[in-house]
Amino acid sequence: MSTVLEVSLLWGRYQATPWNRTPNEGSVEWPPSPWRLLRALYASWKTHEPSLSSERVETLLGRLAEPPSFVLPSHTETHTRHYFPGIAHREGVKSDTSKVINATLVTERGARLWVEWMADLDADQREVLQLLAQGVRYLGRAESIVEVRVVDAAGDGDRLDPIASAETDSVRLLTPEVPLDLAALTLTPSMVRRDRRLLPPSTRWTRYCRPSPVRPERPRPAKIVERVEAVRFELSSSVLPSRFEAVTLADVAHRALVARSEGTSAVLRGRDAEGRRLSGLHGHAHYLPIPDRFDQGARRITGLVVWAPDGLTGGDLATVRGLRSLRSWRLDESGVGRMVVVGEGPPAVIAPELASTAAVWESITPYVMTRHHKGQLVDRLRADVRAELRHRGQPDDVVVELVPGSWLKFRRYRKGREGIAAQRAAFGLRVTFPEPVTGPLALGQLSHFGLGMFRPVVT
Amino acid sequence: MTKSRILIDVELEPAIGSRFQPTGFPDLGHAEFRRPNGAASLLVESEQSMANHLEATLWDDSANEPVELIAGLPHVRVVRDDGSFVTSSRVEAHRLASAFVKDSTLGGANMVGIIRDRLGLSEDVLLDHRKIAREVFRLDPLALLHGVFFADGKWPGQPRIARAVTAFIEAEGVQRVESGGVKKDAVRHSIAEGSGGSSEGYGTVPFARTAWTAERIVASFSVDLKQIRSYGLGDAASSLLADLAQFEIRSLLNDGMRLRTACDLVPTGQPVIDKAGDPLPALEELEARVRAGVTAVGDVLDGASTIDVLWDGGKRKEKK
Repeated sequence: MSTVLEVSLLWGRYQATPWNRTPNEGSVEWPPSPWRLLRALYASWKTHEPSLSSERVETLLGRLAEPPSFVLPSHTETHTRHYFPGIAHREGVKSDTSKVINATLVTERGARLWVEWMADLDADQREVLQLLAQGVRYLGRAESIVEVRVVDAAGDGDRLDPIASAETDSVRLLTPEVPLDLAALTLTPSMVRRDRRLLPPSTRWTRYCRPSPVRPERPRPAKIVERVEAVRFELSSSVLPSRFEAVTLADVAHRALVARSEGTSAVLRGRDAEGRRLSGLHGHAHYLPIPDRFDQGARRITGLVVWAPDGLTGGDLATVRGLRSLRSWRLDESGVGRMVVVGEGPPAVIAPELASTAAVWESITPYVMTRHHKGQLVDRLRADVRAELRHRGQPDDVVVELVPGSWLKFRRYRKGREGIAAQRAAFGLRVTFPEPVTGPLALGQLSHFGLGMFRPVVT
Repeated sequence: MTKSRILIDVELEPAIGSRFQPTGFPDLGHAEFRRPNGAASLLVESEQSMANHLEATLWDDSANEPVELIAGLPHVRVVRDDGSFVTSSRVEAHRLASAFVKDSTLGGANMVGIIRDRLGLSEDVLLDHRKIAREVFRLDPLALLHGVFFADGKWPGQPRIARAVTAFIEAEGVQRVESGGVKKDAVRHSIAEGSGGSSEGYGTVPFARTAWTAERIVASFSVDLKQIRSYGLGDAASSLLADLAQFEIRSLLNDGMRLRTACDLVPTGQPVIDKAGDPLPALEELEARVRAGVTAVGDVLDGASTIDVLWDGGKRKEKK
């Protein structure tokens, strides 16, 4: 009959440094070495059962000197890192904050491992072992609390027996030589090193097959196709673009995303695979620069919303999320160094300045007509706006008024793509709907590039 | 008191909302891991951090002294020569073995030597663990609960007392919540050369933030009664230590755990029962037990009281 110790890892966490390794190597001694177990039993004797006679204990420990077999539960690994509070604390001396790696083996809570020795113990020795086992409160660090007891047989798990030859995938554990040398068992590591030894005397390495951590199956979630309507970026740069360069910024962002997606994304590019412009209800991406203010005091562009009414999914969404900076000669000295995603979702949620519900809308950037119309300027503008609204499936029974402002200061052509001759006439408008509508509202030429943006006037 | 351990798991939830922010570790960020069954888990608060929170329940930060309940238990106070408070063995990470204690003197004699003699440490002499435990009790009993490691070559044998109270907080079934924001600078719109930039605190700075939601957040506590009994201090002192440990846990649970800005956790309200089925007593009962216990350990303390040691400012000393 064999002797089996059952070790329950009460919290499923186990941290113990292998012999001959430093804690910062991040490795965990698994399974616990026979040397560690015997030392733990000895310590248990001295701490909790000092009344047991040394003869009984030493005989018992001597019976357990042969390398045992292990039966192990499944495990994974993790670690944390800590800045160790230095003990130097001296004025004028740089404080000692070494980083310590705390490697932990994780099992299910209460998982059990068994250690089996091929030793037949008599009743008295089993009783002593049971008493000593109860006194083993932790293995390794004090946080790795365990409960140890003698059982009749090991349970289910991966069995590890000692192996004779050094195979490539084996782990070595420190075991005593037979017969057990108790003086060696009780040496502290510093005493061992003082004698210039790597290992305590009368010990040797015993090899076992390496227990490998479980690669836990990630539970497969239901296939959810993530669909986001708008992504808002905040821009950070030493010089932010002027608000008059809205088209330039939108164009640069458009080029950047098309380049990132290698031209394959119709939504981001606005053209299909053959290069034809997308027709339809303008569901493809709009690049909407957000100024720092929404009145005549606005000066700089501080944000950008990439809005696709048809939604951004999968690869397109990843492409947009991955936009980090915008650098282009087109932006002169104000290339945007850093862009951070600060919101994803419906425009009404992430960009309420553009997209809440109102009946009256006013221009943020100037409106440029798309078609030829006849008649007075205001009538022509109204006809154009109505056509644009119809084209987007919006109600078109609107009142259009001109709003003064420095609209002609806006650059109204795409730098580098079009010459300044392509610059169009532009106007600031106030559009009043019969019923409140929800934004964003972007109409007219270059509406996908930041022109013709309106803001809701909430009274 | 034949139970060997008090093992308690308490379910927690965020006090407001459903998101929380766990401990961050250098280079690692948040400590995610998976249990073998695949459950995505997260270490919300490490053992080291929880030990600090437990100790804080018995320390009055504003007065720099222990709470009135345990005023009768000794500890080591470190002061400057003008009497001002520096630190104490209750506050220091290394407790009695802190550098501040080591560099201090009591009545002119250096504390390293005083501790060495009191614990009976000497070369080629076996460590007497019970004597060490008794003397540590007389210096600062809480060091027997939270552990102390006399790690210095000048202390022969470098005795170590493992912590008897361990706790941590883990979350299971976790998912990330990414959000962010902008630190706006309404005054300074652009940063010109020469004037203060974002490193000085000016400017508009966008930032990202990761919080988490979890199916379960569990705080686990362990009080090793067998270890406390092994100190050999007798029933009165052992009971007091066990009651102090439970008082710390109960205090922490009652007050809710405001661990960091975005991490405010409270118990879900289920009864707090240990693995053996015994409930954790209410705060009033533990308070009464501790109060009685403090007066009952007079003979173990044997006249020991709080000592004030003089810190010299930590200047390098000449080798003796």
